Amino acid sequence: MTIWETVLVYLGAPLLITIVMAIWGLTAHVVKPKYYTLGDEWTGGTVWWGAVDEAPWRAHGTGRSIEAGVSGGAASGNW
Amino acid sequence: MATGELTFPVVDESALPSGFVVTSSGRVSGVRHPGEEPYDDSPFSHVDRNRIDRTLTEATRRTRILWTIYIGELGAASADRARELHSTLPRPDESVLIAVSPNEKSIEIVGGDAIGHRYDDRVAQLGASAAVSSFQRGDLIDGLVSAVRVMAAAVSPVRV
Repeated sequence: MTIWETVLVYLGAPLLITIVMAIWGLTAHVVKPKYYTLGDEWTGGTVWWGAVDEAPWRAHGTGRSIEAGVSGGAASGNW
Repeated sequence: MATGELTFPVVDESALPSGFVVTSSGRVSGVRHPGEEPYDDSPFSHVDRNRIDRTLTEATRRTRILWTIYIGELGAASADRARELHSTLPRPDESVLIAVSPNEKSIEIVGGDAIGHRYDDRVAQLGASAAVSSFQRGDLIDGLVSAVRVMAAAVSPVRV
């Protein structure tokens, strides 16, 4: 093999494959998920989030009884 | 159910799109071709969901209060609706519900009676202010995260 044949096989061929795949990847139509941003109309139904698995303290019998005359805090807000 | 065991909701395999399968654990595994509509139908990205998850987990561990977030309709009587939702939680007396209605631009925070000595109106108000200031900038997740964080920091440490 001449030096030019070596260059063509070991550099030219991988380069060609890379270019073909790059063109394919860059021109492919990619659909991105539509995420919610505040201000849009909310159509996501109902979402509940909580860390229910992180509540082991009742298992150890340390559940607190409700103190008389104490009620939970509450607040409202608008924006 | 054993500790650490994972359970997944029952899925009808025939209703899944092509390329999806129910694995032996019950988890749904799937692929899609580039250009197809994504199957993930959550309105929030996984980064946002991870952030919420971490925040709730940390706050719950630290304060021994069950922090819960609700996003959805609250209606005209939003405070009453939030109290109603709070009472449907598994352990309402030890829970704080942060209910947000993006369409009505309102937030309601309700705390349980058993934690009332730590979680009072003042703490709830702190959370509402933190959330509203982020909501005004148009960032829902940021508002929820800062509300939970500021309230978790404000409640006194648990007496063991």
